[in-house]
Amino acid sequence: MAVSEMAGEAGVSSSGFKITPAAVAPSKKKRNLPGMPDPEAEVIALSPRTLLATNRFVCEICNKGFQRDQNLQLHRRGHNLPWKLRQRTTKEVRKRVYVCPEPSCVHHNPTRALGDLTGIKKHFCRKHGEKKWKCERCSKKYAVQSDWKAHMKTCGTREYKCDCGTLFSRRDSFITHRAFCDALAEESARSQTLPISPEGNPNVKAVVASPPPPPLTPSTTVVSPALSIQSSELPDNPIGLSPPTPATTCLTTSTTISTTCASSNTSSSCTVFASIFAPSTTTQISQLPQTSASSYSNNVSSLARPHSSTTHPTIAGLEPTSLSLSTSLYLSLNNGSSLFPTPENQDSRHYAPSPQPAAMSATALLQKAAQMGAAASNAPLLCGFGLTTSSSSSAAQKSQIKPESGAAVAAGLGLGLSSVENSGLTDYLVMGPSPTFGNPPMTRDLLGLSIGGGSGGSTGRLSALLNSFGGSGFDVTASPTSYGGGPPERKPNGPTLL
Amino acid sequence: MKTELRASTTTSLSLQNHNLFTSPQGSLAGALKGCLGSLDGACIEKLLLHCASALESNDITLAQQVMWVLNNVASSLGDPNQRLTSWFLRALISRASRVCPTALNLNGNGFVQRRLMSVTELAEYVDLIPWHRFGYSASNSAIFKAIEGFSKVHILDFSITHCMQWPTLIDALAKRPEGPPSLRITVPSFRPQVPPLLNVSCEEVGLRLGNFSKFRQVPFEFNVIGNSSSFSSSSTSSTSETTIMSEESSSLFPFEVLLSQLNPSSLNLQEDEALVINFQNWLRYLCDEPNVEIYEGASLRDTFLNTIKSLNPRVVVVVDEDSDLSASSLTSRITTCFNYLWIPFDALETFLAKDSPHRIEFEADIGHKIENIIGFEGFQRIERLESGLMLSQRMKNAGFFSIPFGEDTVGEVKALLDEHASGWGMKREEDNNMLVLTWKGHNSVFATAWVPTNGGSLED
Repeated sequence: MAVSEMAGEAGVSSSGFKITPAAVAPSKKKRNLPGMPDPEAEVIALSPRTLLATNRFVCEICNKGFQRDQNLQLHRRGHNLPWKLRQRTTKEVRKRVYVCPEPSCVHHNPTRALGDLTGIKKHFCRKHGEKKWKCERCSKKYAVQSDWKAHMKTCGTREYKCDCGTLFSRRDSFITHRAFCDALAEESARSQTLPISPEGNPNVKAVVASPPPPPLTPSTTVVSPALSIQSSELPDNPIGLSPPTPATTCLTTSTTISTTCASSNTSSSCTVFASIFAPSTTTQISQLPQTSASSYSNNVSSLARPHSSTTHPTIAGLEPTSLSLSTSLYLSLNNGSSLFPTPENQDSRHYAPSPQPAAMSATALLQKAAQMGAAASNAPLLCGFGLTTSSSSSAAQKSQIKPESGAAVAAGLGLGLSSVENSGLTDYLVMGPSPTFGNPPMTRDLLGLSIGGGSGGSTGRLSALLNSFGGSGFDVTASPTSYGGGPPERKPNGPTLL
Repeated sequence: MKTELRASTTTSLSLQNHNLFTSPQGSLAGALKGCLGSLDGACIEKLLLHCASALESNDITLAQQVMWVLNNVASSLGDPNQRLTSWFLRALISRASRVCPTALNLNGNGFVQRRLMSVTELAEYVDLIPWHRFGYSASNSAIFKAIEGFSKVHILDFSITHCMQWPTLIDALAKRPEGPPSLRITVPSFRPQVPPLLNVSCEEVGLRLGNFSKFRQVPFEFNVIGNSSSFSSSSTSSTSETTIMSEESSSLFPFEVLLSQLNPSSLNLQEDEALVINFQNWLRYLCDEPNVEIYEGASLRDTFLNTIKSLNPRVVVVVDEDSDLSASSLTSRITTCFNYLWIPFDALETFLAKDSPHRIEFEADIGHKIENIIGFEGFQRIERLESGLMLSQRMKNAGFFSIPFGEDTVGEVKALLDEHASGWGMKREEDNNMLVLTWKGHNSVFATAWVPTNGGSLED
């Protein structure tokens, strides 16, 4: 995509246009990838003032403002002023996409550009603008007047009420809810032949097949035999449930879902990782002893079963994660000693264990990552990553893993590696279409780290990564030679992978 | 700005502010100088790709370094990029752990304990954003039209949203001027173990639909097929086949068992019945890799479609998400996944608060998908989504041709989207008669309708 300045339109105020450089993306596909706009499109970056401006075109006689030049020109006719309507250019116009000027916005990125001018204006207004319009009935606030108007049209006008008391503004959601609502089930149990009106019926608790409480016992049995429900007849007995007994039977036996997350899928455990993400790890991980695998496992297993009985999504808030890890990482930082000369580490101690990454720039993060490599310690942090290796050294290694420093880096990172370099890990990663999940038996050492000699190898790889962040067509050979006297970095696998 | 990932060519990458970079000198800090102040989507994507390629090339050190950085970006309660990153990171960790199972082996239930919803909660869930309702609306409308004139309808429902689609169809059928047809819905007993998850069985769901149908005076019947132990009444001819399969194998090869039951006798097909096949977010779970041994080089997915065609359905509606997430290359999947799934995350961000439990659930379910797409390979990678374009080609190859959605359908869907805040849109793809839900112009979900060629009953 190429970027161009917006051709100046005849506005009275000068609008500041910002040019954003962007790379050219070669594309042979005609159809856009889902999620990405046309690579051939022209990316336009307008300034906030332009986007927020409503009436940029002002009549010099009466100061009436217009959103579009065409409208102003038509107005000028009324003043008997010379006017000129510009013809639409007949030559083919390149498709234009618009980016948001707010740097932190997802639409700032040209791959997330929006396809029309009105869209980007509305977006900017909605997202980054002030919500000036308020609905009186429900207090919803809107930044864009047309949104507010649209809302006013429907707010409080149509309301559907289910017997259970829930209100709906849309009919389809009302219907769907009603079909499955307990209130209907109860009504059906009592009713005979008459249809039931939506307007309230007393809530009589009848004996119906109400949903069982969330099952606590994993059950993988296939559901019981096909249950045929005929509701075309109107039997005298409670309907809709035909024989109540089998119904309840099948309910209690047939929940196949409780094992969640496909216990059949995961052969190996990744609840080790759950420990990172469980909120209760905040204090636990940071207090883990250095090399106590067993106690760690105890901790992990106790963390591995998040509350299935709560009614809240048991995602186990990730928020504390970064906090806890940051904290513990910070602790390890103080403990570790540097193996590498840390060049300009003036901001290395600015590490704020904050869950808000905005507080830490990418610069600092990546730098931190590199310096973690420098800190040699047995810090058991992030050991939940569990990427452990054997401590045996094997001669035949993949070429990428330089024999010097990986362990040190890993140790410093506290990423729970042990002797990465002499790692049996090399053999296991078969990430092709036909994976082999069989692993050579290895002694696992979650926490212990045997540190090999250290120098710039792995950090060199990191720096190669960082280089790839730096500039278009970045010639890999221009990557930093070294900074610790280490061997040449793993060059070609950096950018070319992308 | 970002280039597509291509295996064969080396493309240059740049960031938005590349000219802010100074050429890195020999020091790490020099390399870092000028890096973006905040990690934007492109940056994160790069990190993800680096992590993946590091894993693939056994460079655990680098992988972990990148993971560490990502972990500091990720936040399940942050902005959409942060949230998305957190799920990607989990998936990568999951992948890394899978190839190196620890001695702990805690019988992992997977990462995230996804809670089970009640039916009413699920009803609410599917209406958080029009993501699902779009497909329901388009499909139901196409179905309604296709069964015109029939007094008996049989729907074979393959979906992951537990029949949430049907109340509105039942409602529409109830209001049919010539009176409602009798409706029979058949669902497979096996359901891929993916969210959204219900705390009740499909029979219970069927019960409630039955209640509702009775309430609306629509004759209704609900069946479950696919158990090797038993299936609907007149199935004597297939008994011999299925007794060979034990209970265990039916759970190992559930789709194969299901496939074996897709015949007129097992399904109890009637001559005067309009047979409707509904695929909603489901075809993706059928393996798309060619299988020489069993299916003579075709894939399970193709074989399934061929079998469906042989049932001579009145109409086949297919709804799914519009992205190709089944490439064999991990890095390709990561890229496509990241560049597609920002869409629902962005939509949720627009409508729901940062700490909304519904939003977190919805995102977790997407995270579950991400984990499978990125964390697994082979038969365990069950999420093999293909885009509308690819799916359409597959349907054509299987002997279907697409039918357009009527103007009233389009009108209904538009009305639905108008009721949701702006940002949601719809477009029609003429060549495949596809309706596509768009968010801020980006394709999200596609809906298509098909009839079999050579004997499609619409010609009668």
